[in-house]
Amino acid sequence: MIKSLSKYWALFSISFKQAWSRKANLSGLLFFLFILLFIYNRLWEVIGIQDNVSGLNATFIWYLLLAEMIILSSPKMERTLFDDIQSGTMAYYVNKPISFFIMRYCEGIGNMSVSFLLMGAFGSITTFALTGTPPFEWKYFPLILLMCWISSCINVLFYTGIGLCALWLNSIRTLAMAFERLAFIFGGAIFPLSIYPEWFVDIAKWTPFYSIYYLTIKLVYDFSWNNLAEAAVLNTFWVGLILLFITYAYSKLKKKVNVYGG
Amino acid sequence: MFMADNFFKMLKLFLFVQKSNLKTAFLSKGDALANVIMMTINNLSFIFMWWVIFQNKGTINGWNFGDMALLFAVMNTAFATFALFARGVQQLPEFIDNGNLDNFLVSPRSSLFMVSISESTFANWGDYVTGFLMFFISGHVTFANFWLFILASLFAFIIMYSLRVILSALAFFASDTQRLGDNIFMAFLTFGSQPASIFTGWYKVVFLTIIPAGFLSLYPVEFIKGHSLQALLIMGIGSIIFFLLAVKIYQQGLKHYSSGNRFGVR
Repeated sequence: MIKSLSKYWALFSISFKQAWSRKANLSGLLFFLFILLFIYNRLWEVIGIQDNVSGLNATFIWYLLLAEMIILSSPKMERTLFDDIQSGTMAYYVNKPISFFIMRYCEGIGNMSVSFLLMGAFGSITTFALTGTPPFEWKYFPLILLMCWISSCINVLFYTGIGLCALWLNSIRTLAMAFERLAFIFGGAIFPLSIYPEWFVDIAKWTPFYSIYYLTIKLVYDFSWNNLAEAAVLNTFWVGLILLFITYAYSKLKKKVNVYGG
Repeated sequence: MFMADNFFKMLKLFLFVQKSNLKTAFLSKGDALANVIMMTINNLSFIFMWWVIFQNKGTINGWNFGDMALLFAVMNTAFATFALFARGVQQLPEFIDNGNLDNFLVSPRSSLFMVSISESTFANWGDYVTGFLMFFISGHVTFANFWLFILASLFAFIIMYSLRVILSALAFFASDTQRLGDNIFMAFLTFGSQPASIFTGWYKVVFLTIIPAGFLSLYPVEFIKGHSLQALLIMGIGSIIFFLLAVKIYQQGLKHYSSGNRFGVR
């Protein structure tokens, strides 16, 4: 068991180091994050002045930071899986003493963790500098970050699952993009769901994005143990469903690879 | 005479490539159509987010949803033109890093032109659908405005394309710049898809210079809404300057390029 785990740990750490060495990529990511925070801070500042509400930007920008940490840190797992499946590369791995799917997932998590950590550090300093007093108590901040990291892991799992749809589709790019956008909307990734009409929130509650994004990120301005428990329980439920789909698709995939030989 | 001849040859080649792209996309009609529909839904869901904000707030520093619709009309139309007819330039860093640029350099046509038309994403027809739909719901629909919208979209496309060439050409001078360029380009588009009215003071300076997103949002909307000659001039001159700058940087970059010794012609 420990030996098996150590293989995956090795994959995680190799991917972590590789991602860490891509300085140009990481600088581009941080630049994009800075621009997002800068723009939306300005937007909420203007709305705050217009509506005569102070501190509006602090609440929304901390929320935006955590949302972007989850979304932007995720590597393009669906493309990796799609390429593996379509090109037949997967066939090289299926007979190795390692699960192809877990291998790719661990690599994804390693990659994601580097971006997540850097964006967390850089974004927190930038957001603090832009907005001043945060809408949360600092003692809860590590816990909120941990919850967001877990959401990021679920996010990677979700997109890995989308990659497995290469089994049925010729192109995965638009499907992934459509899901990304649905996640933005139903997960309240740019604007929290609290500003959306009630009928819309009722629909969003039926999607995985509601808990993976909104309920988790909302902890930054509305922390309570009840909210945390609600997010954790719902996330567990959605992980179960995603895993069910992945297990089904993966078993189909292995049969297909056997037939065609990659 | 030679220039005109060259232009028509390039146009002929361009049309031939586009025809091939369409044929390829229609090999699987269902898939192609599904991709266009998904792209449209994708765009509309983003616009829905802004609709919610404007429903709550009415106006943001003087901009209403009609103005935002105009902005999205121009942005989506310009981006569709880029993604359908010039997306190859986004792959330039990859071509440079792995030596595939050699294939384009041996062509008798301009290598930048050849790289640009080398890729097209059919799904982005959905951006045209969104762009035109947004224009028609903007509340500024007249016959004259329609042509102003087309002209503004063309200028916005030139700015978008030029910036992408500059970012992609970074790969001539440093390695592994694909995602850096992608992220800066994304930042540019994000900047451009905000209500321009929120950028005042030094925010506006950044908005118009360091990241020239004002050319995508502020001036097109002023031009279509207010028929502003000043906005037209700024867009026109801005796009010419950016385009010439992009070509110059690309040509300078080529001097730094060392061949990958690959065989093959595109």
